[in-house]
Amino acid sequence: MFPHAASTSIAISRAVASPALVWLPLLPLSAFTILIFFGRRLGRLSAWVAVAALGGACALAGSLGEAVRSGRRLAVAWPWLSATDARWSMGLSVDGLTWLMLMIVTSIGTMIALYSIGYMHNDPRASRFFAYLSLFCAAMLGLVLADHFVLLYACWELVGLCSYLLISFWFEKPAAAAAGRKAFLTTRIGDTGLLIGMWLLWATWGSLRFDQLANAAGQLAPGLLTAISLLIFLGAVGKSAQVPLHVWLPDAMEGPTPVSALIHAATMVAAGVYLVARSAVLFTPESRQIVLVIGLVTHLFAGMVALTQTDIKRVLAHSTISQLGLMMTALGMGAVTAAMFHLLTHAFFKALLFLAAGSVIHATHQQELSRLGGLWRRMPWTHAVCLIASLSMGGFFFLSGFWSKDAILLAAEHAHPSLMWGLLLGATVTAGYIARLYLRCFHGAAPDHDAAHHAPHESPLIMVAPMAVLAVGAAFVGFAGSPFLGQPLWRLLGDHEAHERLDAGIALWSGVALAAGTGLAWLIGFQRRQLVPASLRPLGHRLYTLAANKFYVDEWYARAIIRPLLRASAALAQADLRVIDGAVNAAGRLGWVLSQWKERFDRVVVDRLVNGVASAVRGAGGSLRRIQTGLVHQYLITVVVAVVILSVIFRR
Amino acid sequence: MTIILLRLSAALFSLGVYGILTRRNAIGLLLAVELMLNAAALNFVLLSRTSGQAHAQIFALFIIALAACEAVVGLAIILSLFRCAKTVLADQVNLLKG
Repeated sequence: MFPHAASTSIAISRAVASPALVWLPLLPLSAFTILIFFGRRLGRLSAWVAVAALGGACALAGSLGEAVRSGRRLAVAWPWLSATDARWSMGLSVDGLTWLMLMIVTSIGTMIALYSIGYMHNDPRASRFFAYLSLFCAAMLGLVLADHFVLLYACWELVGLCSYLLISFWFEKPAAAAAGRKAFLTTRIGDTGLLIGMWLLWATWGSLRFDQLANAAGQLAPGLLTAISLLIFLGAVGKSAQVPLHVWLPDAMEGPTPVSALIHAATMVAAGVYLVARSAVLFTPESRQIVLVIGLVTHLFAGMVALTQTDIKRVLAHSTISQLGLMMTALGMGAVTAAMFHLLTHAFFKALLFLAAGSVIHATHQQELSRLGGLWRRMPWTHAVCLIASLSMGGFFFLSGFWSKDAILLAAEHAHPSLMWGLLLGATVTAGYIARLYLRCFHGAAPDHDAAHHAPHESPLIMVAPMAVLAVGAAFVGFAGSPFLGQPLWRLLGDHEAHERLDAGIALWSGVALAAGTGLAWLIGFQRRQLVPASLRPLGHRLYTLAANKFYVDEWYARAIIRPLLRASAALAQADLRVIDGAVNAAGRLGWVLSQWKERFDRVVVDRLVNGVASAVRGAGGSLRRIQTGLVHQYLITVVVAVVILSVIFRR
Repeated sequence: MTIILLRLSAALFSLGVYGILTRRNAIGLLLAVELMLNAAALNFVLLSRTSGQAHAQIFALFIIALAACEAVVGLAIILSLFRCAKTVLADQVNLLKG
């Protein structure tokens, strides 16, 4: 009878209606609107507009915590396209998973906006930067709040757009412009997969609402579900920079460092993980297998590349890819909560690492590891927060990264023991590259600075304070999921399989991995000892070259895909020029010839006819005007004579 | 009797035609036209009497009315012609020459 009314009432009965949710994305969006129109006039104030909007959203998200933790779901829905179909009604909803993402995005977003005030203070387009940052946060909040695939997809594309705009923020640099383009196009491949997956789900199941996915999983054929889930996963592969679509993320480091921290480390790239977690019920064992394989390959592959990179931001970029791979691996094992837990801790320590790197770059104008060193005296605060973040990422006991890695390792052990060894190898690599980065940046001999170039100094308070806040997060946020506090995170996400106590064996092994990675980094990466036997050295060298060149994936793509595509386009352009243009020109020439013929006909026949009539009329007029003398008598004589003649002719 | 009157009418008409063809003065032309009109009216009345059809005389009344109108219009034209061209001689007014 009233399908839409019925469905709304059902939704309300399940969830608590809370219209305030609309303000979450609306606050940053209004900040964006203000900044894009009045940013120039606001000047330095524009940064504070963005900070205020993000802080407000953060407070709002925090205020929802009470209700969410008690297990309720908050929702606000409005009909959309309801004239045709009630199933398109969409809205925002908050459950534990969403709330977790909300807190990550708003809190880290606020801190990074604060940090950017210091980082971007010399940039003439700073207000534009804050506008984009606000738009990104609005889109990201919309993405996690969406209760419907279509809304999620719209926000998904919006964050992609913001990513593009911010990567190529310094578009004067050709490398930045190219990187933005590459990021946009590469993720677009994944987005297309997501779109097809959504369409397939719509065509076979008929609803794209997240709260009805479980029903779909129960009723659709397994093969179909595998196809749908893999297509959705393709979207996540693009966004979360998994192999084989990972190539854009290292190049994305051309953007300003705060952007790298927020978008390309903490939040947007995690959207893929969030998407898979959100639609986890759709994933069949087969598709989970593929998620697992891709995640694991990405984890190890990117970790190895990170070991060899010499640019700070590129090390961190590959580290991000690697950690996202770890989350995907966890998702592939079905450990959604562990994956989200790692997403949470990773967001904090990776954002912090990027901010610390930004602080170093800001102070020294250097990104090359070989030109850095010994900074710990000059920049004590940056050094301290970087140490905390590195240890957290390496999985040092008690710090956040330890707990989340532990949770994933535990899940791996449950899934398959050999998987755990693979992940321990990954953990060793992780500890290795982050220790190498930390040691070479902050310790060792300081390179000679030019006399003209003043010595590096600590960053201003506006940059240090957000880093300090994030450092607290990077150190302690992991307790949300640790067995010591009864794992509130597990309860928040509705996962009942929480492990009650610390698994000593796994903790031990993860400690060994950390120690081994750090030790090797100390020896090889920092002290430059030759540990490899001489006979194996050429092989090692070849491996190093391979990894340092990112396994030539970019070059291979260029050769296998981009160049053939360009060649094909050039050929098509030639065809266009020759065939299509030729046809058009021939048609044009034919018309020209025809009109020439017509013109001649016009001139010879039509014109002559018209002129002939005209001259005949003129001649007649000329001969007749003679009798028009203007003398009345002559006319009268004519009349009289004519009457006489006529009466003679017509007499009876 | 009838023949005499018909001849009178013909004479009047011929006088009118003669006047038209010879007069230069526009007022004279108007008078000559009046003669011709009256010759026609006389013819109508005469032939009405001889044929016994009284309604033919209506035309005589029409002609009188027409002549009056014609005199008014003609004199008005001549008056404005005089104002414009300072002459009433018809052969000196040849603006309409082709």
